[in-house]
Order: sequence, then C-alpha cells, then structure tokens
Amino acid sequence: MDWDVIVANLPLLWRGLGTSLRLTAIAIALSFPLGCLIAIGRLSHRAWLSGFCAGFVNVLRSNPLILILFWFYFLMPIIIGRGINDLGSLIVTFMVFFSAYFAEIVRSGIQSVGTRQMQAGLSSGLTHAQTMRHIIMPQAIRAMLPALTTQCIIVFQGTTVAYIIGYDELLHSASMAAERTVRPVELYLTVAVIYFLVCYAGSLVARQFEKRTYS
Amino acid sequence: MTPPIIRIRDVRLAFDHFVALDGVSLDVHVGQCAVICGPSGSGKSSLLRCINGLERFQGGDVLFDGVSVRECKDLPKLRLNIGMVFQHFELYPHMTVLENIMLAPMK
Repeated sequence: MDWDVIVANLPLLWRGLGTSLRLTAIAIALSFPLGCLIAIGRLSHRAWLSGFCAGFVNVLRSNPLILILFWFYFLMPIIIGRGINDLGSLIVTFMVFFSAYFAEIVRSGIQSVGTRQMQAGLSSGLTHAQTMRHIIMPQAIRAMLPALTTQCIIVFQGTTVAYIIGYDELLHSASMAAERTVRPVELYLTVAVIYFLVCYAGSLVARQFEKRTYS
Repeated sequence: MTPPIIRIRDVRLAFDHFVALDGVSLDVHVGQCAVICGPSGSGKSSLLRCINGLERFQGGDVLFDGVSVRECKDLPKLRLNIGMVFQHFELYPHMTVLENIMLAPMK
C-alpha cells in the first residue's frame, strides 16, 4: 500500500467532494419543492390531477436513476434536436427522479396528521391555506424530518451516477487518479471512507431528528 | 316569532353508495337546546359537519342565520359564528393551550 498517492491526489479528491456536495445541494433545492407540489397534487380531490401525480411518482420510482439519466443525456437531445450539456442533464435528472421520492415522503407526512385536525382547523374559521400552514404542516414536517434527512443522504449517494457521463464528481475524480497512478485500492478505499463519513454524519442528524420526533 | 338560527331542509348526504343522511329537516331557534340522538353510524356527526360546511351534501340545504351553507362563498367567516366541539377533542398538539384557544380569532 502506498498512501502517498492519496496525499498527492488530495486536492483532486477535495474538488470532487465539493462537486458532489454542490450537485447534492442543487438536486435537493430543486427536487424538494417539486416533490411538495406533486404531493399536494396527489392529495387533490381533482381525479385528473391526483391521477397524473400518482402516475408521475410510480413511473419514476419504478425506473433506476441511471436509466432516467440516459433518457435526458442520450434521448432528449435526439427528441429536441439539440444537445444538452452534462450539468444540465444531471440537474434535470436529479430534479425529476428525486422529486418522486420527496413527494411520497411529504404526502405520507401530511396524511400522518389526519383529516380530523384539518376539520378542526376549518371548523374554527381558518381557511384551507391557513389550516395547512398553522396546523397541518408544522406537525407533518416534524413527522417527515427523519425520512427527509435519510433521503438527502440517498441523493448524495445518487450523485455517483454522474460518473457514467464523465462528470467530475468524487467517484470520477478518484477513478481518474486511480487510472493515472495505477493505485486503485488506495484510492477507492479512501473514497469509500469519505462517502461513509459524509453519510454517517447525515444519519446521525437523522437519528437526532427521530429521537426528537418520537420523544 | 323570530326565524330559526339553524334551518336544515331535506339534507341528503351519501358517501359513494352509503346514504348517511336521507332528507333530514330540523329547525333550531336561538336559545333552544336541541339533542340529536341515534345509534352509532346513524349520521349524527355527519349532520353536524353539514351545518358548518365540512361535508358537501348532495341534496337540500342548511341555512345558518339565513345564510345558505351550500352556496356560501365565505365559509371561514360563517364558521367563526358556529362553535363546534368534536367527539374526540382535536387539540393541536404542537401548540400551547393559549395558542389553541387564540388561533382562529387571531387569524
């Protein structure tokens, strides 16, 4: 084992980690609001809207992330007749794919509060929007926080599919260094440790939320 | 004699094929104490929910102080004048006692 190769490639790995974290932040920032809208649509009384949103969620959850990336990276340029850059494809893929998972978390969180709380709010003179804001959402967010934190960890792990299209996230950076130095064991072990540290820190945060929620 | 504060006329409420209320009529005057009793599942709570517009009934109408609940455009305002206590107390667990009491009047 030659661990000097890690020291030599640390700036490259550090840059890769930064890219992975940036991709994660962008993916969450875009997919969570979209997921909230889809969740509200799924709970709508309008059959066409809830049906459309349910279809969206089921199609996305029944396909692997890598296939969705292929759609946007390889098929979409053929359909629209012009190329999409790597980052654009990745962002759209992550936004669409992870919004389906966030939608299910938000939907189950809202439903966990129960219809009687909604009726209590409405009967005391609040509008539907006020009831959602002051009564349903504060309780729902508390219930969904552990699942949301776990989903954020999954988004971080999901950014590794960017490797497939040669985008310089953490895994791709390590792979390039491994090919150049012919030291794959040291580099892939180091990358595994970095992923573990980030994800474990996230899971500790999720556990804290869980403790607070169920205490 | 003053007109009834609550006037229920031929209210019909169905959940898919199950008819919960079938042509219910009732007048309640100011100061009057009315008791609605019946076996479990006979539609007592459904009738109360119809009075403040929590259920969308399919037939008939409920007039509260002369205002049609069915056609009312501002149900939240109408509901401010109707006090309702649920069978299972629906307190808001994330709020203090004071916040529970103050929420609707403050909004």
